[in-house]
Amino acid sequence: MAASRILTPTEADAFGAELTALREEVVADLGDKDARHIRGMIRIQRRLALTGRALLWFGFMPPVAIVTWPLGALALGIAKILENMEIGHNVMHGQYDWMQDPKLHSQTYEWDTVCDGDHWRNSHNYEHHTYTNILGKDRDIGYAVLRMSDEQPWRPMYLFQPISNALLAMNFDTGVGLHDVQFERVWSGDMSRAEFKQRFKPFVKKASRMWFKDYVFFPLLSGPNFLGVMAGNAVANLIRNLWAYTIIFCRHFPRGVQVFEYSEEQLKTESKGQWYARQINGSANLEGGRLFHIMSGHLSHQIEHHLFPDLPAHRYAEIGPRVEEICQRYGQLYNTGPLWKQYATVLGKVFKYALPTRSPQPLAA
Amino acid sequence: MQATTTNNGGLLQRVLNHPWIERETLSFHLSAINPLWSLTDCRARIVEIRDETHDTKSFVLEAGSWWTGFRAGQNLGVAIEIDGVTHRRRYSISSCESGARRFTITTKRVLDGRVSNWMHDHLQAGDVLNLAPVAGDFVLPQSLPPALLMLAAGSGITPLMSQVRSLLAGGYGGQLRFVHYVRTPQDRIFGAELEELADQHANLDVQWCCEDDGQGGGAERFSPEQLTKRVANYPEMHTLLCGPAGFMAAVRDHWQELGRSDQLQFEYFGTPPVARKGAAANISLLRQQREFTGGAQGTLLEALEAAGESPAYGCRMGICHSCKCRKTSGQVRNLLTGAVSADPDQDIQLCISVAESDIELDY
Repeated sequence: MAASRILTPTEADAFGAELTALREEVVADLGDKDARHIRGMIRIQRRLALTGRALLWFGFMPPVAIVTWPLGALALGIAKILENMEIGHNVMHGQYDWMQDPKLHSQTYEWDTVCDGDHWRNSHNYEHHTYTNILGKDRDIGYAVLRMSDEQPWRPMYLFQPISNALLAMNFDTGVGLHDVQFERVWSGDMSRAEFKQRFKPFVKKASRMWFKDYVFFPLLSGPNFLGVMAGNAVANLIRNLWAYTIIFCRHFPRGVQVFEYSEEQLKTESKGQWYARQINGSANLEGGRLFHIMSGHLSHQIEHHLFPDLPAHRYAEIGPRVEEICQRYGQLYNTGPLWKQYATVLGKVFKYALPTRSPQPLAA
Repeated sequence: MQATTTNNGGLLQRVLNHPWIERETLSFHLSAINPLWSLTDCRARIVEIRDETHDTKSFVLEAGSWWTGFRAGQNLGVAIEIDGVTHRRRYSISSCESGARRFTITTKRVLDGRVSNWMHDHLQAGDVLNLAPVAGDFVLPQSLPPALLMLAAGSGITPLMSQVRSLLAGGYGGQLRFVHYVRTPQDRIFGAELEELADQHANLDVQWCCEDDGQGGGAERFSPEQLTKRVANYPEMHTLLCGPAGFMAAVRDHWQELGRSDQLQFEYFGTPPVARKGAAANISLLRQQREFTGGAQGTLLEALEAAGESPAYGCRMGICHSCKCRKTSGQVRNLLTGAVSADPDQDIQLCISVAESDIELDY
């Protein structure tokens, strides 16, 4: 893979203008097609969730349960994936705000996972999408628990990261939910008790609601099949967690993705074109068919998503080739590959960076 | 008179309002059985669509069980989705006040009006509409005076029609003088029905004043002299007024000269915002209950901050949508796209919006 070249300020402006023009083309074309897409997704997701819960509920008769229980857990797991990734994540980005439908509004939508919506809007939509891959600014670099690049200083705790990576994969929803509590600042004594309380409360509120639903309410509703439903819901959540983890770790961690060390001054003077270039060089795409893209919430089009986070995600596929063509002309690496290949490079990093690589240097306090 | 009642406090209502209840999901599955069964929206089905004139239609609606009635003269919010975008408009109810779930709104095609034309061209009996609650204080006085004058112009007749129908159905025995200013005789909305009502009720007198009566009779527009010819004792009557802004201003000015403004009730409809590009706008913040002048130099986010407010914001470049705010009225331009938002109740990103008229924000 050839690395991207640094654009001159004039080149960056022209590069930015081409991408902005592409965005405007899509914005001008937004309409019924996009409304039908997101409503169709919601329809499928809700029916799938209902089917999944019903199948788990009927699983109290042992001979039938052999078929209904796994099917129910799978259907519910897929429904959760669709809701979190293609619906929740994208709606909360404001991709459908232009529809002026209060049910699809970015600032009020609350998704079906333990992460509080308002926390997400801040840590993901603002911090991660504005300061993508800037060391010390973007807390999604290694999620504050993993070391995924040379630029992150090594610490002894990273020796255990193959294990913490596996634990994170299985409990990905909780990990995302706790991300914005910023525990690393609690350990370092950098957070006041009051701030911790203020950050922790929304998580407790949201998580207890979600856990009550999956592990108390629906199991109770099924009476004698309490344990069956509870286990089915746990498996559905596990399916969702493993899938979401895999896709999401392939957004910014595959080989070839850059991490940036920016000064405050550099940040202030960064032009729109340079911002676009940073988004491209800090992201990686996954190749696949339409179903794969939908199931990944189109995060498989991470490059297009980071350029235009508020364009309806199902449009990324149609503009992808044009973004790639623009990148080629300006010598910018359009990092793409199949899931297994990209994930293999991510897993490689988990092991590689567990050990000290570059000379360890403490973060400036 | 039927009073508007509100439905609250029931156990079911309290359960449904609990934050742990997934109202939208529940509602989605209920609506699959019957589209009027919704826990999140007020919905009504179109029962019938009637042509009132060449450019005016009445839509007879039947609401779901949430319907709590209306008072004659009030209006209703209607959400219409055109090419994926929901537009919200308010229309006066034109039917007689009653406890039934069936009622009528009447709309006229507005020249270049996106929503009214779409409603006329695309809506069909059987369609289901999302509604916003009934509102408006243009209602009949609590104790009815012995004589009432109603002045309508164009489609401003709709709330007054509801009032006439309700008064007569309620057995009002006082003098009822109705004057409708129209462009041509073909524009007499509810013309035949008003004639019929006047035949049946001796206390109702209806007159039409045409700008062009089709017989070369000369234009008849509102003026004190003109109205004196039609209703000699008008200054002594309690008056209800509804019509376009210019017409209303003329009538209101005259009533002020007469010193009878307290006897005049009025309702505005459809006044387009005045674009004042580059000039400072009057910005009102509904929830903060304050008003200030600003926004001449920069974005609304900057204007709010300059006025000492601390709105939520993130990237300040239109990416993250943290600063999104509901604009209840006024016109703004999106600096990124150049798109203009003139409709009421639209969400805007403060960091990339500049004011083009006076603005009211739900902030």
